[in-house]
Amino acid sequence: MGENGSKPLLWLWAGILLAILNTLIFNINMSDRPIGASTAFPYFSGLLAGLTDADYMKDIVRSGSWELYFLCGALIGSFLSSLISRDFKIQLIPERWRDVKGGSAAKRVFWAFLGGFLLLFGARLADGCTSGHILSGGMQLAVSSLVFGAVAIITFLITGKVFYRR
Amino acid sequence: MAKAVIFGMLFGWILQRSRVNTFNKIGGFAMLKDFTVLKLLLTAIGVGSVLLFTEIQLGLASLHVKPFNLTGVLLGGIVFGIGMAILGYCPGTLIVSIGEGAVDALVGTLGGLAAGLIYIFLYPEMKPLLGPDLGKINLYAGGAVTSGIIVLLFGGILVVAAAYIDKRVKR
Repeated sequence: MGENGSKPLLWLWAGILLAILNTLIFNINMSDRPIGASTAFPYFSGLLAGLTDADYMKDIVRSGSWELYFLCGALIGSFLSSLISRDFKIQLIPERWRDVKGGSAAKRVFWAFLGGFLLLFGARLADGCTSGHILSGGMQLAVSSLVFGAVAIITFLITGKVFYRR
Repeated sequence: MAKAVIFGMLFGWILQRSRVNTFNKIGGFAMLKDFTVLKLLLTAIGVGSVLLFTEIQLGLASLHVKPFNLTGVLLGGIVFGIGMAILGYCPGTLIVSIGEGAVDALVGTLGGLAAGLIYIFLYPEMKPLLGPDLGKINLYAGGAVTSGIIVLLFGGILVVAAAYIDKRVKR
């Protein structure tokens, strides 16, 4: 599927490595918290807009700042890793999108922006995302996270069926 | 904070090398054409639940369960699922994909930052609407032994489900 880099890491090993990584992050001598990503978005927006005194910014300053550093690391990690594996490629329209939705740049930009908006707005309403709720919450057998995961995946598949219908 | 950056680098490396950060894999899952993301998530949660429970029993970690705000979790899950299907990334994988050159992931991130900004403004009005708060509950029950059995069953079912999907669906 348009992959031009070296052979990818098998899902089984990646899943085990991700489990070990999250267990390490949970350790009281390490970060004493779970993996999370979505709080960094409002936190970074708030910093850029100079809203550090807003109620929400005060509520999320701890996790927001940790997640911002974490995502900076993720950006560096994937940049280096994709250079080494020769996966790095400046590209606006992914192959699978092109197959179903065509090659219009404006169309991909519109849906990517709207999708990103809904994704993060939903994550803020639910107080978590794939990392914080589904992965970290699932590992803790948290009821809020299991319900979020089930609702999100069902809605994801229904939307996919409607939106990518040929 | 150096630790957070290093953990982030490992996170970015694992996702990038397994390719589950890409639109081709996440959008492919929405199209029911690729199940790598589902298999990886089931494995990570299943194995992680057993590792974390062991770590907690050894006194080396504590739970960080998120509160169950009924309206927020249900409504948020729906909006999140719709967004993830049309975007083809989730919040963490957006950033990982920018790292390997995906420009649409950068656009999605801008959409996410806009949502974050608006949420900061709406928060005082939204906060009371997210409840009722059913508490920070999880499925551990009784003592360490009962909880341990529940965790082993939970983790085992998820890992077996991942293996089953892999055997039945070769893509």
